[in-house]
Amino acid sequence: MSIKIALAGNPNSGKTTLFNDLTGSSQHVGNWPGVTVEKKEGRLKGHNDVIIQDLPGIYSLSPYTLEEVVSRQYLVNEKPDAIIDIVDGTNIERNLYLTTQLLELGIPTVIAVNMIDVVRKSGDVINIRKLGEALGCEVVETSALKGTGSREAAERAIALAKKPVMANISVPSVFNGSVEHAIAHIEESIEGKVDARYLRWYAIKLFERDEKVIEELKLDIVLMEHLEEHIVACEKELDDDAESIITNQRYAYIAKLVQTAVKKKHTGQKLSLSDRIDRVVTNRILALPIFALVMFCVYYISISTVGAIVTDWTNDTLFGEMIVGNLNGWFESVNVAPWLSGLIVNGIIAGVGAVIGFVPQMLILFLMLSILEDVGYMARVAFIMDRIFRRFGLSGKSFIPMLISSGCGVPGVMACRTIENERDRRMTIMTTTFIPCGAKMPIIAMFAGALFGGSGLVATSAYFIGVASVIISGVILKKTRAFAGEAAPFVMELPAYHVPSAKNVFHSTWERGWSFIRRAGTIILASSVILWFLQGFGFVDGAFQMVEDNNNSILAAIGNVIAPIFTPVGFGNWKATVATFTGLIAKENVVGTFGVLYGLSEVAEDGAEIWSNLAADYTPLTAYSFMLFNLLCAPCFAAIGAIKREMNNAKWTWAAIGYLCGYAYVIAFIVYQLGKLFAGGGFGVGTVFAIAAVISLVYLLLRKNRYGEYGEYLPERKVTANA
Amino acid sequence: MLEFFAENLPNIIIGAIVFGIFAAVVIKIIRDHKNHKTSCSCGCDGCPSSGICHRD
Repeated sequence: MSIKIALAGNPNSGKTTLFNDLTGSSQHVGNWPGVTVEKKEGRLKGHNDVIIQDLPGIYSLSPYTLEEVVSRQYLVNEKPDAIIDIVDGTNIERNLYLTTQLLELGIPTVIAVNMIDVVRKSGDVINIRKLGEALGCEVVETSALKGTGSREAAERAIALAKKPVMANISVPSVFNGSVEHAIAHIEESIEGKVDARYLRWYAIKLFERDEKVIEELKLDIVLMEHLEEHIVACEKELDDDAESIITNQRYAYIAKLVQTAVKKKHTGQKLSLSDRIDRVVTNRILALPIFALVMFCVYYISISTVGAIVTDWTNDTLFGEMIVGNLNGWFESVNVAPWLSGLIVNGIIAGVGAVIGFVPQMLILFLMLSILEDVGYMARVAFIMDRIFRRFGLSGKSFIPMLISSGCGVPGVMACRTIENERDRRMTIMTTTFIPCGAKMPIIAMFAGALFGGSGLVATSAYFIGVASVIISGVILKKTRAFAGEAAPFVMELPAYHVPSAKNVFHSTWERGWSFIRRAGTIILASSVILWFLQGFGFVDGAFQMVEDNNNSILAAIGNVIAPIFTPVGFGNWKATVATFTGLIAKENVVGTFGVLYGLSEVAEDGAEIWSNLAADYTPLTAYSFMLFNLLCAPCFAAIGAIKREMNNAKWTWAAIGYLCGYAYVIAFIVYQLGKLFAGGGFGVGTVFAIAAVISLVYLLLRKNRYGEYGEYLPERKVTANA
Repeated sequence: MLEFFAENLPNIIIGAIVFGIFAAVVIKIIRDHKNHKTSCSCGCDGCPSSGICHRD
């Protein structure tokens, strides 16, 4: 019989770090609240019979948010044998609110006062003996980040779980007076109707008139009326509603408890180091320029400097000279048929090598993003963006999926499910893939390197065009009936800044980099073989044969049929068209396709720049237009699948794909046509349409919002703050 | 017949390796697809939402 131990606690209190430490798993750890949106299971190291369950971070056991519902359902329905309640020691008052609720569940609980190293450093003292005595449970000090105390917490939880169930129950006396009296009455009334362990918890929830509990228990109407009398009497006496009464008494209890068990060194108004940093980085005026500067540095270092040096070596020396050079020589010496050496060198190595070549740049980018995330800066970015988003009727909640999307669009789309408002959720799903994910990085790096001299500005612009596209789309869509309504409130606790954990940072970087390499060895390899065949064979004089010039291939014939669609946006050639479509399989496949079609390896053999063939086919303007379109259009099939799952509606899925492609086309069209005009390309029909597109876009952005909070049409609506 | 094999031995061996790898990759992709494993580059093993894609 296995033992189930649940890890519960406030968001960002270190549950997942503790989970990884206890189970040896490698769950993603993020220094912002809401990283875990669903429960995760693992086995305790050295105890195969002990299952550890990582639950999403919650502030209470109310049924209001998805995280609360997931955690509450697990704790109440799955009945774990023990709970390890992770309490952030630096913020103990707020964390103990959930603790009091967890103890009422009647499940044996061990409190792990986490971040104890930070508590000690700040000079505060938490008397865990007093805390344990008052709460009637075991308390241990832990530092999940440093790996101390977590094992002890787990061992104590196992010991508690092995004792007889009712022997462990000790519920703290949180409530008093008429409230305690009413709860006791409710307990008596429902005894035998619920699991004895959960009696107290159900009684309190009934007192709070928790709809989910009322629905679940299905008590008869006479009993419900009787209970209601007790609740109403309490409300009259204390002149407040039942839920507030419970909240107030909980906080009063916690305040008293903290007074006896915690000694704070600084009780005054002295600002912490995090507060002082926040005064600058979240400053109303400075926040955005600092964010822009930080992102510029991140992209500049990864794309233009350190990353570029390593990538150039990988492309030119490793793939170009060492692998391809030696392989060609060996193939010649053993008389390998030209088609076979062509398949390996110009197909597999060119395609896979083109993608692998960008791994160093990606690793450096992910390393820096992981550091920013672990330090706590990315959580501030969500806060900064909320201020900007709110001005346009959007919620900062939408920025959390976008933060995740900078790694991969799939979990980014999935993170949208934490947005309760359906309209906002749909809109975020539709726009979150505008943020360039890791797989789009090679496209940016390839063009930045081949046509823009490795400019960091090109890469940074790709990120900010993504963010701007989210804002533009938000403003436009919010004025339509389907998305109209006030932005949902966004409350997020900003974690204290801390020195990044090398383990977390390197793990996160490696995890992303390795999956990228793995994909190059599977889906990109398979695509490269198929592409090599399609671009190497065709019909010449009515006969199907290998072609010298890939412009005569089957792929060219297919690509040329579709290519005219992209002529107005500047890349109406078959190679770019094919790359755009193969990018739907995986975005890095765009680069792999160019590797196959432009003969990456042949160029390298000559010692010339690896992407010079590609550069010859593009101007900076057409390259930028191509890059923009591929960054903003429909994401890869995996992300489209995630959109389909999250939308749970075919119409909305197609609407999302249509919107993304349409928006990408319009933006690329405007950039290309107006860019051509400014570059002296003359005024043409395309310019007229581009100007019309700009005017339409400005109109859609500035027009009055004629829809109310629930999407109702308000023809005479006076313009309000939301308009 | 033997002469053909002797002349083309390098092609046969290298070709068999290449097509073996290609077949293995295609089988893996199909198997992953059937097991609802996505091809996302997020590193599914560590993704907090992986349970949504990878239902057992």
